[in-house]
Amino acid sequence: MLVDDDWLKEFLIQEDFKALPSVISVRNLNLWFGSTHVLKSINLEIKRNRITAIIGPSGCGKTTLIRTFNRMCDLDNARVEGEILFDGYNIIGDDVDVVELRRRIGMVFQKPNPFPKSIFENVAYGPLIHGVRSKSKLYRIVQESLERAALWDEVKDRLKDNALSLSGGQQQRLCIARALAVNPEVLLMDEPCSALDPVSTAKIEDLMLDLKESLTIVIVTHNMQQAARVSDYTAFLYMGELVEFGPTSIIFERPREEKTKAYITGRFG
Amino acid sequence: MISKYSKQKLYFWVMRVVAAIPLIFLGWIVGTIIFYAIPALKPSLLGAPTPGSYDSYGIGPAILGSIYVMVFTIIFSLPIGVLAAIYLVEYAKDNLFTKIIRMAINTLASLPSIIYGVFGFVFFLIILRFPKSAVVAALTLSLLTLPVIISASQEALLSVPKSYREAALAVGATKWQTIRDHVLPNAISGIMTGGILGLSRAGGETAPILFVYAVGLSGFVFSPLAPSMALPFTIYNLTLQSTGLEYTLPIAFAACLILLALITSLNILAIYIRNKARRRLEAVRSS
Amino acid sequence: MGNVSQTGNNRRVSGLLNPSRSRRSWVEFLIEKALLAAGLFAVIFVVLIFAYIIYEAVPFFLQVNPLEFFLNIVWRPDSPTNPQYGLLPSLWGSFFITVMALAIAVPVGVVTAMYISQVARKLERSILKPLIEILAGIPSVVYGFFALVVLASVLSTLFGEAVVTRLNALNGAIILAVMALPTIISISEDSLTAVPKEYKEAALALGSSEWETLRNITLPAAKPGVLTAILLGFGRAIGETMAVLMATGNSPLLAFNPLQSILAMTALIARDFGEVAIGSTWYHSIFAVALVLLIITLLVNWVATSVVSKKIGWRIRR
Repeated sequence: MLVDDDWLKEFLIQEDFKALPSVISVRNLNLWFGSTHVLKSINLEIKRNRITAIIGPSGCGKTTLIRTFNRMCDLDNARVEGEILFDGYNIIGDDVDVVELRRRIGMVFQKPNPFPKSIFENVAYGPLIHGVRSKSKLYRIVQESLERAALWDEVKDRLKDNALSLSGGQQQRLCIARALAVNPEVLLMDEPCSALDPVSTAKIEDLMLDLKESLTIVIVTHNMQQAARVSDYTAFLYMGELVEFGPTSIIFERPREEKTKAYITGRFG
Repeated sequence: MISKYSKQKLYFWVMRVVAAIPLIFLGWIVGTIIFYAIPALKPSLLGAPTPGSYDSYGIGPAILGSIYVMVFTIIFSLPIGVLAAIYLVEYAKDNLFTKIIRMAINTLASLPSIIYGVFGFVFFLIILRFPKSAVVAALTLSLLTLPVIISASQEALLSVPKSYREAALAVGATKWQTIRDHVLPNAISGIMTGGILGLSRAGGETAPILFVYAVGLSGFVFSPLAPSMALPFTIYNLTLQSTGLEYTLPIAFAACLILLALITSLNILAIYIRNKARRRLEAVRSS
Repeated sequence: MGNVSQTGNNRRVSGLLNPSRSRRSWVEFLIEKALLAAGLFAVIFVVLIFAYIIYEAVPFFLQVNPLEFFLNIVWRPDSPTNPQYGLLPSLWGSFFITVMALAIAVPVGVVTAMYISQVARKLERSILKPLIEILAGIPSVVYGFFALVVLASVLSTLFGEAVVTRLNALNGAIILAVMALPTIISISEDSLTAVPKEYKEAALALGSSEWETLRNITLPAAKPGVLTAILLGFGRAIGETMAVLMATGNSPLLAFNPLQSILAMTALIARDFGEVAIGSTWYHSIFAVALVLLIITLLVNWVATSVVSKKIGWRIRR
């Protein structure tokens, strides 16, 4: 054997990484809450139609990082420096249209947070505020979004019911449908399964694998098995620094950094 | 050990008795008013006052006047109060400017009510040359009810979970769309509580309207731009200013009962709505 | 992008930059400014209130020596030959009844708050709390009416010969105490309830009885809140107008006997302002009294809220 099998695999993955276009490029990103330096010089590439997982112990800044991608960090009074390139623009700065940005980069939160309204109104809200007025078009968007979120069959007869009457897992898929309804290019998922049971979690993971055909997903998770199962690339964040970033298989099988190895083998965190 | 706990029992009983004192006063005041007011309640009470005779003396204009004042006060102060609360909760940054606004609201809440009476007279009647009227009474009372409405609305807005705001913003809603579509609808019962409390405050105050609205004796006045009687002022007028207490006292008792019934039922409504909203919110939080 | 219809895709032309150009951000901007204007309303009127009270009080101090105002013990502005404008009788009257009122209301109020927050069973609490809120909602003119008609007669019977005037300082103080009770109770109760449960549990685990825990742990921990409650009760009592006007007889005498009539500052303003000729020295003197009242309430409130903010800081650290 001239070429080591593992080496070839790794080489091919690296070439693939280079060839794929980046949707979001993070360049030297720093973030402070008051005087606390929370994110330190982060560099990261989010690849199109791939799932990127961000892992790390609690308090490492992974949720903070993902909230900079759609400027949700504005709500937390954070001070941000550096660049996040999306569609050729640096989205850090006052001249960015955050409303348009958030339409194009959707988000799903840790705890399912449907509005206390009907299932239909939940999904229709995004299109409605973006100017879709025709009833039939709204209905079509709601149906398509619920289908993409694998929830249509469960709720199609009860669209007028209050969203809070759904189970936790269904609520989270409803939130995914709500995000999909404005047709985002990127979907940010902030520990979307942490409040869910294993069956619901499995459904959401399947859903993510389906969705990556049509969009790019970034998921924050504290569950390493989940990262290993669904993601293509993994970033390991520790105390505000990006320790290691690469193809998931490499991060989990042959991490370069000692800290990464310690974390994924469960020695801390 | 036994003595320690029997001592505790004694202390707790003493506390229980002390805690009953406010209730005793409440019962005494309300009970006395009901007891003496009931015999004085007759249909003529709702008519106009008859100068010189107290047999069929009515306080109808005073009731109408109070309702006018309450309604106009709420028309003036509810919109401004709610908007100010939205600004403070959703928009205001943590700086000196915001601090000044909060301080001003606190100040308005704590000034003695007679100061408003004097200010209302000078500002609205002398400087702006408005006529002595229900509208000016309402403008003056708005300054008192504004802090009540602002603080109740602030509490209501703050109690809307952050996750609703995040969810709306994340699908590309603007800040105002988020507030309009998701924050306000969920804060509405708290805001209503504030409105009702403001209404009852406006109906019960006397000192602020002493010089800008109330007169001792008038017929039914339907114009909001003319002076008239008001229920609280009539009570004052029929007792301290009265020359024949034995005739006016029964009418004053009846006026007290009517005022008390009006104000207390509004307050009970406000407490009921607020408690219901709090329970509902706790249910949402825990789910 | 699958078969999903492209909602809002036309917006993408506008790009991500320069939101200031879009109509949407203009609307947002205008809404924010409108809300800010509503917030400024309070500021504007506070400034106006102060400005006009001061503006109308200044002529008085130009006509009458401020020393006479603050030191003279006679208030006789309606005398045609020798009008005298002494603040002391009404200042004393206000303080006298307020302090007496607090002497009654503070012990009762704090003990009631302790009972509600620490001892009462759930049922008792659910009865007590709304009733106290109703007590707080009773209009002051009703309290004044009750003091004038009922309480004064009861006190006359009780003290008999000792009563100098039927309407007197004690009568006013008792009714003020009842009126200040809800304020004192609700704020004290809030701060007692806010004492961390762990403190109490620690004390109970060491073998203290509930009473000892309440007296030695909970009450001291809630002290700043209780202090605030007392100060706000003071502010409420000294600013009260109608009840005082109707209950105390309104004689501008420097009286130290609680069973004698006094004139409080608020009552002075309410009584005199209605009958005074606009622009006269008497008219301006009323604004001078109003200014003193304004400054006192402001000071009390300022001290009370600075104690509150300390308390809130403590709550956040918890």
